[in-house]
Amino acid sequence: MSLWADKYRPKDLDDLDFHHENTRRLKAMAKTGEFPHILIYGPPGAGKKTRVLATLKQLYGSGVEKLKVDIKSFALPSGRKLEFNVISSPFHLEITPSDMGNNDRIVIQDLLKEIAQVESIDFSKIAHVAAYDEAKDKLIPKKRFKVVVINEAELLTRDAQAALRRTMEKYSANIRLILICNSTSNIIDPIKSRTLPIRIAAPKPAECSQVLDSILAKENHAKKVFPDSLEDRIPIFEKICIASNRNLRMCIMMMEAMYMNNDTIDVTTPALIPDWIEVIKGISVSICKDRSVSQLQQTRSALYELLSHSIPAKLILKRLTLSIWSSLIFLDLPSRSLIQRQIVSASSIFDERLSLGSKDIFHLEGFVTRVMVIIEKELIC
Amino acid sequence: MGSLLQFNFSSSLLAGNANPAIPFDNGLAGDGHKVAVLSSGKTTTLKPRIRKTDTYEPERDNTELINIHRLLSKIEIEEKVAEKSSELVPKKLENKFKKTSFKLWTEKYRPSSFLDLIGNERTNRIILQWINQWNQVVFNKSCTETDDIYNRPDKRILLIHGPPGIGKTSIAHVIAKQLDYEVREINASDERAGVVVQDKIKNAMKNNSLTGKPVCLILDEVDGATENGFINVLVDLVNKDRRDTASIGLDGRKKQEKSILRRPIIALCNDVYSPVLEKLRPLCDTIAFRKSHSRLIKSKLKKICERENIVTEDRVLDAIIESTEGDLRNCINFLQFNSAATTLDLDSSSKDTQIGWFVQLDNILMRSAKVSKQEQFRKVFQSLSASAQVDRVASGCFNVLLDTDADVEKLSEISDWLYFQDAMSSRFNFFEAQDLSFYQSVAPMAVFQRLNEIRHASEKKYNYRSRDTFFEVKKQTTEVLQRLKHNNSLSNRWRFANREQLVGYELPLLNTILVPDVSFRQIEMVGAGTKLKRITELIRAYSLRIDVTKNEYGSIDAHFRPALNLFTRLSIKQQQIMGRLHKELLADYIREQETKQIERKRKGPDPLDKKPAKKATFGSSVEYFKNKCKESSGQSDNNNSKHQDAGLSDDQNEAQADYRIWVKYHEGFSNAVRREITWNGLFII
Repeated sequence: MSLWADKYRPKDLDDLDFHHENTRRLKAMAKTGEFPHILIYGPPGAGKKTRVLATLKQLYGSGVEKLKVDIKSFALPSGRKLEFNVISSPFHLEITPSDMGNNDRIVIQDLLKEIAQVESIDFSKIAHVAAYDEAKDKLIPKKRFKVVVINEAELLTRDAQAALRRTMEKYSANIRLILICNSTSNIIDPIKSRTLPIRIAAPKPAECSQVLDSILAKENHAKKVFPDSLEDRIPIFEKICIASNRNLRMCIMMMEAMYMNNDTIDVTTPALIPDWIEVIKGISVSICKDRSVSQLQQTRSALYELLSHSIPAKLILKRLTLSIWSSLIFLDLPSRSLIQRQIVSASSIFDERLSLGSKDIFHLEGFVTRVMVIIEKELIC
Repeated sequence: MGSLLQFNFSSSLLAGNANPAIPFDNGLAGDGHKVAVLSSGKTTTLKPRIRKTDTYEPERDNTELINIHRLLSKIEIEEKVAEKSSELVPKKLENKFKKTSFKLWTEKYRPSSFLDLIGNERTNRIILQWINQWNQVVFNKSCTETDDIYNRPDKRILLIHGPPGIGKTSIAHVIAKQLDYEVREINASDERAGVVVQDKIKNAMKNNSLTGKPVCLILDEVDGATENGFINVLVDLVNKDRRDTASIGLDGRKKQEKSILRRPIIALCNDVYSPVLEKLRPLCDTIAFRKSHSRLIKSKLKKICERENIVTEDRVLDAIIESTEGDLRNCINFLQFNSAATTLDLDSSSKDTQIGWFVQLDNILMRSAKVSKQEQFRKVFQSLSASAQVDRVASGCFNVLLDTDADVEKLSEISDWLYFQDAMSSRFNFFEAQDLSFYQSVAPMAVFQRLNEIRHASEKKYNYRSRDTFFEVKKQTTEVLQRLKHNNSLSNRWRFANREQLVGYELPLLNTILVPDVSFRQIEMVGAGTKLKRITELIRAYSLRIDVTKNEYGSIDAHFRPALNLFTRLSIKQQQIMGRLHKELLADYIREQETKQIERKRKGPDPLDKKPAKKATFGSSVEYFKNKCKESSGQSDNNNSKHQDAGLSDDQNEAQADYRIWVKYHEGFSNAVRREITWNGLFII
């Protein structure tokens, strides 16, 4: 039993619902049995991971689905030991080095080298045998290389990326890397040049609703909750789509949540938005209405609450900027676009501060104060 | 004495000689004196020994009864003496006393009885109750009934956690003493490797101490246990106890009762969410020990000051309490070491170069009346750049910022400076660049420049509360996230999920899926329970559990474990649903167990009936074949003798026609010796 989002996750390249052009190329590549290092990037919930797994399946057969979780330990130069989760199948392994913070370089160096060096020996044999077998009955040819999937590659430190550079070339006979990230801006150029970049865009609203509808068709009971005709359903899907920012995984989860929470769903049914977003909306509206120290006090406690629930400060800042942007409408301003520009530039300044400093609350509140000052100045003029 | 012995000896010698030269009766002098002649010819007179007759006091004679009037009069006298001495003895003497017997005040004023404890009355009583629950097993007294056969508390270890210096250790000791236990403490200073600690705990649990009192084990600072063994020993202890207790309940007869806990264990720690305690926590009754109210702390401090003849103002005490954030021990320490001057005020302490960050904070925000602003600026700057606590000062500035009367624009400027300080300090930590630390102190000075004003001390208020709860919740959430990542279940996805996605969207949505915000009936009824079934299955798939407790208002308080619900706010309706879900899951579980049991029962006799015993033990196989023999007639017997060594085919019974029964027969204990046995031989035993 699993969530719809997991249950209806495509397993094969042929099952993928959108970006067919991409799929076709991946398939062609997997068929040749040889492929370069790949850098897959795109917004969350666009299907990057799904695509990678499907490609691997195409490449190695269903063996890649036999996953096991290993905990590997690494010794730091200081003598401290680190533990690290690795998910692996006989053909590939998946790591998230960013879990290790600043120590990711060691993981990259040790783990990749270990795989690259050890596997080369026994895999050459297997490849040989497989090639021999191939003539008799058409087995899927065993690849000589192992694939390493690196999640959240944009969070790799510079050191780790530098360590990756040489490894990618030196051991290219034995391993192939697939880097998955949301944006390439943090990836250093040498790595970009060594990889084949593939962009996976977020699905279009129409594609989203198509996927959602196909899931509904398979869930008998849920289907009854939604309206009968497709024309009535489409607006609901679109609403879900907007609320979840075209993140397909979230779309599906949100649809499931709506189904669980309502007996019948029509266009008026509110989309379920996570609480913290509501909180941020509340903050931004009140900032625009009232710019005073007492207001700041309330904001501070709200920000503390958000941070205490482990919501990343940068995510808060981003949301806050966006919702302040939209709640500026409540004000009677002479030139809204000017203020919006100022707010965005302030936001980028504080975003930098968040990454340079360590006390998130200082900078989040600093941003709020700055916004207040900006609005105040504009109103006086 | 020596001469006396000699005398006796010699006189007996004389007697032995039977030489009545000096007759004994001659020796009797008038008033009981004895005259004796020594062998040397000297004569001595011996005085009769006067027996020391103990003059018993009359009270003693009346076996254990104490004359109350006498006691009362004693008290009266003592009081009078005390009065006089206090009148006569000047303060100097007390000072002398202080010098001679130097003792840490924190030890001197450690509470010694239940009534000495301040604050936390409710918690104190809960702890008292918890230990009282052990009365039956320890003292054989009756106590309130629980599910346990010894009426012990449900969870065998009490885990008290809270910030340092608020009396956790004290309360554990005091209460144990109060209830007539002997306290045995194991703390971080002791060796806590697995084996050593195991012996120690065993000793404590099984034996009484020399005083004859039962032992109460106090494990101090458990979160600091770096040795893995320690926690494992505890977990083991509890698990064994649980198992053995359960077996007693089931069998009804007393087994060895080897590892049943018979003494209370109290564990103390600061951080209950530290990963070391992860395994232990579910086995413990956890109690959060909060800081006492500052009013109570103040009254305690006042008492101490009175005792020690320190003249203080309320204001100073307030400042001390605030600066230590309610850490009573720290407060007392502060009092002791700043009381050399018998009067205490903030100015005297600020003459130090190493002054507390709170004093510096005061200096930054409050305009001193004594010196010019320029002068003060210089002074503060000097002390700040020498201080190692700029970080804390800056945080302090941030905390009080909004309580000052600065306007928004000023605050915005200050926030730039705070950023500067933050960036500097993170670089400082990162590279250990000593030079940078100098620049750190600039930021608080910017605050000084803008906000330093004349104001009254009573005006300023520190608002630590929001920050405290912030850290508490933060610890919880990071712990939950850790757990989710290490959760070995379907949710492999979480292991590698982006934190932003996970916390921001996935968990809240999952929460709303699992706990819909509608009435329970609605979930139950719709589609003949499809939704409900789905929820319970999902909960199981993600290996979540629901803990239901009643909070102090009597309403239901339900939590997931790991605590997913931290990531959303649940409405009351949802809380109720959680409670119902809990019941549902429980019912499911029981049903499952039952069906398993039934299946086991059904399966139980099966193998004997149908399946041939492939490898039967000696006794049972004989039984089995005897039965078989009775069933089948002589024909099969003939067959059997053909397959002497091992085989038997039963072709008479149609249903069992196809089965071949293999017997592996081990003679003696090893099968190294092989001997042929006949079928008949097997049965004649």
